[in-house]
Amino acid sequence: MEKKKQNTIVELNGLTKRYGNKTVVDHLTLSIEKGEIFGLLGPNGAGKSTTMNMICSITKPTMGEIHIFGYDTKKDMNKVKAKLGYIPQELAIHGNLKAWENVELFTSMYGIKKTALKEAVEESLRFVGLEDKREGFAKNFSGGMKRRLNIACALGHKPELLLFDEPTVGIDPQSRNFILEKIKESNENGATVIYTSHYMEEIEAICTRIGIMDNGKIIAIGTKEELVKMVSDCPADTMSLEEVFLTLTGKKLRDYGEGGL
Amino acid sequence: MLFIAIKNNLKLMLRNKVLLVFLLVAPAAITWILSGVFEDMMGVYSNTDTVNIAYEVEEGSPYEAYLEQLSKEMSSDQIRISKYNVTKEQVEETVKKQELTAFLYITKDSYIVYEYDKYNTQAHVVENLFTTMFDQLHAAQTLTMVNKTIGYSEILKLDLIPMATSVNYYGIIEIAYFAMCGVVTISIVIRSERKNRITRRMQVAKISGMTMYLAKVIPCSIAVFVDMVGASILSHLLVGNQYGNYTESIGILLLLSIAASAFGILGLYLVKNIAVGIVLIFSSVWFMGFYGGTFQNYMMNVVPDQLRAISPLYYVNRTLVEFQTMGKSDYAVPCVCILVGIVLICSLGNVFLMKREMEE
Repeated sequence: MEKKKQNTIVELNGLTKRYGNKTVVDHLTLSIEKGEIFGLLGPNGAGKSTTMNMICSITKPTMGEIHIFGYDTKKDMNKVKAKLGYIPQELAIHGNLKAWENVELFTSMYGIKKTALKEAVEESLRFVGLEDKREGFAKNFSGGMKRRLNIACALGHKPELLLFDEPTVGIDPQSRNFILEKIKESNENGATVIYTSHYMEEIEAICTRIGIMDNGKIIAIGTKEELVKMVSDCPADTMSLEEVFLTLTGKKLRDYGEGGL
Repeated sequence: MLFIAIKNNLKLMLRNKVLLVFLLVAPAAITWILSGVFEDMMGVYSNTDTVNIAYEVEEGSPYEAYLEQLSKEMSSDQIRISKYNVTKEQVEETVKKQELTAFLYITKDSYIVYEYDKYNTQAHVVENLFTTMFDQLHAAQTLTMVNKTIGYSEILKLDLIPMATSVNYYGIIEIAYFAMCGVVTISIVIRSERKNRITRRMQVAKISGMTMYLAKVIPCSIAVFVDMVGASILSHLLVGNQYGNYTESIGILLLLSIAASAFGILGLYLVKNIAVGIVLIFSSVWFMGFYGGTFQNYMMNVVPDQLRAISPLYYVNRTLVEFQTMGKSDYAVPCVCILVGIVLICSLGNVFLMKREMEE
C-alpha cells in the first residue's frame, strides 16, 4: 500500500453519500494536517455527522476516497483503527457497568491486554477526572460525568486521531469547559482532532482551522480570521464566528432530521 | 477482547436480579403446580385398583384345577385371575390390549410368567405369588416341575417408558422449557447495545462478527446453564424432583443451554425490535413445549406423533425423563444431534447477521 504524504492525517477526495435520491455529503474534498484541531461547523442536516461516520467507517461512502494516515480506508481500515478514537454524539456506554468496566471493555476492543489494559483504564479515567468515580455505575452519573466517561472510553488505546461528534450536548458550563480543556490537552499531547459542534464559541475557542458545511459541501474553510475576511472587510476580532456562519449559511431555519434524512 | 467482553456481558446479565430470580424460581414453582395438577392423571398409569392376571393352561395340564380354585380364593383380595384362550404368540398383544398386570402361561411341564412392566410393582407381587405357589406344589411333590421361565418384562420394556412421578416429570421438562426461554438474559445486553449505540464503537474497532457472536453466546449459555442447575437444585429442595444419569443429564442441559442461546440470539437479530423478538421466541418455544410435552404429559398421546417428532424439546424431554426412569434412552443420540444441529445452524446465521450489522 502506497502511503500518502506524512503530515496529512485525513484526506477526503470527492466523498459522497447518498440515501436514495437525497445527497447528504456531496463530493467533499478536504485535508486535515497533523496537529490540527479541525472544527466542522454546519446547520442541522449539513452532513457533518455523516462525514464523521464515513471517516470512522461506520457508514460506507457512496463514492469517493478516504485516506487516514495515508491508508485507503476501503482496503486498510484495520491498519487505521488502532490510531483512531471516535467519541459519538450519543452516550455509547453501558449504564449497568461501572465506569472502569466501560473503559476496560472499549479499550480491550483494540487488543490491549492485562497490565497495559489496567494502566490504560486508570489513565483514561484520570484524564477525564473520573478516577474517584471508577466504581460508580454509569447510569447513576450526571450528564457531564457520562459525557466525560464517553470520552474516556475512546482514549484508552491512545489514538492519534480523535473525532468528537458534538461531545458537549446537554451539559453544564463547567463540564463543557473541562471537556474543551481536555481536547486541547490531547492535541498538545500530539493528537489530531476533528471536532463538530453547534456551539460556535466552542469551535472558536479550540479549533485551529474551521470548515463550514452546508448541503453536504464545504462552503468555506480556513482559520477564523480567514473566514471573517471571506465575508467582510472588518477586522477578525470585531466579528463573531456565528455572524460569519449565518452570513455564509443564511438565517433560514433548517428542519432536517439527523444526518440530513 | 473476547474474555473482557464475555466478563462484562455476564456482569450486565447478573446485575439484573429480577430476571435471574425469575429464571431460578419460575421452573420450580411451575413444577410444583403442574406436578400437583397432573399427579392423579399420571397416577392412572402407575397404579390400578385391581390387579388383573390372566392365565392359559394347555389341555391336560395338572395345574388346571388348581388355578380355578386359586381364582375363586383371590377374587376377594382385589386380584382378578381370569382364564384366556390364547396361543403363546398372542400373549403379548393380549397383555397390552387388556391392560393385564401379568399373564401365566402353563403347559404340561412348565410355566412362564409374563410381567407387564407398566405395572412393575404389582407384577413383582404376582411373580412372587406364583413362584411361591409352584414351589410349594413342587415341595409337596404334587406336581413335577421341569422348567421355569420368568422373563417377559425385558421384551415389553422396549415398548414402554416406565412412568416417572409427576414431580420428576415436570421437574425435568420445565427446566428444559425455561432453558429455551433463557435468551432473555442476553437480551439485556443486546438492548443496552442498541439503545446506547454501542455497536458504533464496535464498528470503529472493527470487531468481527464471530467475536461479537461469541461474546454473546458464551455468557448467555453460562447464565442459562447456571440458572437451570440452580433451578433444578431449588425444585429438588422444594418438591423433591430428581434426575437420572447425572453426568449425561448435565451434558444434555449444557448443550441445551448453548442451543437455546444460539437460537434465541438468532431470533433477536432477525427481528430488530427486542420486544417483538422476545415474543416470537417465546411463542416458538411455547409450541415446541406444547408438542414436546412440557405442558401436558407426552405419554398421554394427546399430540399427534408427527408433530411431536418435529419438536426439539420432545427429544430433550424424553431423553432426560428416560434417563431418570430407565437409566438409558434411545432418544439420547437424536437429542444430541438435534441440539448440535441447532447450535451450528443458528451460529452460522448469527455470525452472518452480526457481520452484516457491523458493515451497515
